[in-house]
Amino acid sequence: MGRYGCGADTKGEEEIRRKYRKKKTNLFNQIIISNGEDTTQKFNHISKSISFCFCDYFTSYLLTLRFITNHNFYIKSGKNIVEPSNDDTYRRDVDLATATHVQEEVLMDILSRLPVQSLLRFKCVSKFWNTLILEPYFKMKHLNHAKNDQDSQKFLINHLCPKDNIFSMYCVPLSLVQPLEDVQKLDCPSNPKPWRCGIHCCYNGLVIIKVPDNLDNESSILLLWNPSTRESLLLPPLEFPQEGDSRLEMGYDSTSGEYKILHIRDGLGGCKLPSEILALKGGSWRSIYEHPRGICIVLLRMQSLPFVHEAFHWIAILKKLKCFVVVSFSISNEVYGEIPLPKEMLSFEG
Amino acid sequence: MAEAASSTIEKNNLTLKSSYGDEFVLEESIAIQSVTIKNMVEDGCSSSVIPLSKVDTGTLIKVIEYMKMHSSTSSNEEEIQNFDKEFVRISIKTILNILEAANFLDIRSLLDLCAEAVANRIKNKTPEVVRKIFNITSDFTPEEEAEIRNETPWAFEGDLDHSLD
Repeated sequence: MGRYGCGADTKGEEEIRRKYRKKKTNLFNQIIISNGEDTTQKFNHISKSISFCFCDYFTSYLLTLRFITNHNFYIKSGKNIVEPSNDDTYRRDVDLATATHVQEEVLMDILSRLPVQSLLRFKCVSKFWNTLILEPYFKMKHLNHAKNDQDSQKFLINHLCPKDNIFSMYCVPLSLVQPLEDVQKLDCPSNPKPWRCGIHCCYNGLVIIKVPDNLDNESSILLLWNPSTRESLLLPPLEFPQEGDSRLEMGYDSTSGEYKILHIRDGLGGCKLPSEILALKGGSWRSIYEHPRGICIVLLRMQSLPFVHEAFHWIAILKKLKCFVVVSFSISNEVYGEIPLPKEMLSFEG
Repeated sequence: MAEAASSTIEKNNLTLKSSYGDEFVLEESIAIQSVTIKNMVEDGCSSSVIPLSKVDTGTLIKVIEYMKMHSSTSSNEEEIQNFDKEFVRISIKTILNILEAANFLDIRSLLDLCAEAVANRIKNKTPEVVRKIFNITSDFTPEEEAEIRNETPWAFEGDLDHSLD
């Protein structure tokens, strides 16, 4: 990392709305879904309560991806490439046709390289395959593989169709040689025709999106969505309103083995805005302790908060000393840290 | 890895014996791409013939072909890439046999190559075809299978590949 104020990531919903009001057409809300989408899906697809697991060591990669967004790439998620089958090229070896009772280890190695869609299909091959594919260990293996596999990387694009003013999600492979057919259009979860929709963040192939509530169109709901499995989970409503410059960020806490979402709000306006955290297994938002030295969070120009070593990082102003500081916040023990800056960067007063 | 071996080791030969009893003599510096064989050499138990009771002759020939190419100092990266590409243009079942052997012999790069090749070849196939390739008889009742299909019907749609290879 080493860069703050970095990150392109999601243009917040605010921005979307702004653009929307201006009646700009062809609005893209971009995000990057990590690459792990494939993987993620898996985890998720177990879904509902369980196993949002995974992996932290991919983080730096994630950051890189976010930088990419800066250059106007879009997010994606979704399925993988299709390869032409070479049916006739290969001859079956009759000799060997009876062999092959593939060992579990080898089978896992093969399956961990498959797109999520294939895995969901192969669950019905046999009970053993089904169990294996649903196994948390396998999901982890699959996610880790996807993180390191360029072909698994996709953009998720949130596109407002100018004709009917409805948002649609597209999953676009990152490879320059992908056929156009591999771009996949996905229905927004829960509400297939949202007239507003914002992508808040992506992590390990999971996406937090905000869409209108089906029951009350005036209000919005937050969903954790796995575009690869097309599963979604309704997140509990925020305790604190999303006023001003606020961010939702997700990370994985390997200590408790669950994903956590941080809702952090800008403190520049002078008002005291507490931040809150949601552990997915916990089920409700909880406000986090204030920084012991008293800080004012500066989110301005930070589109996403770098997540490294299972901690979020952001820029803040130490109120008493009136100087800048980079603050880290560990999501596992909820402890703050400070990263020292050279003297010439500390001061913000002429 | 071959380069790492000392010059004295390089001159040693090993004999690998397939499950059919066929013997193959191979330079030790080439054979130790297999971590299993390397460990045997280091433990000093490779003086005589190394029996590979799980590897049939055809598979062993392929594995040796692979190891020779990958320890060759005369081939450049592009040649090796092309070799790898051609190497897996064989039936899926044959690749699966090589995979088993690579797993037993612990040759990581060969494992990766073959696992990737199998994954690419089966990813668009139907569950029925995959069962045939892996010699699996479904133990689901029709109802259970229908239930799984109904969970994610979209995963079964599209242009699926019904070919066995």
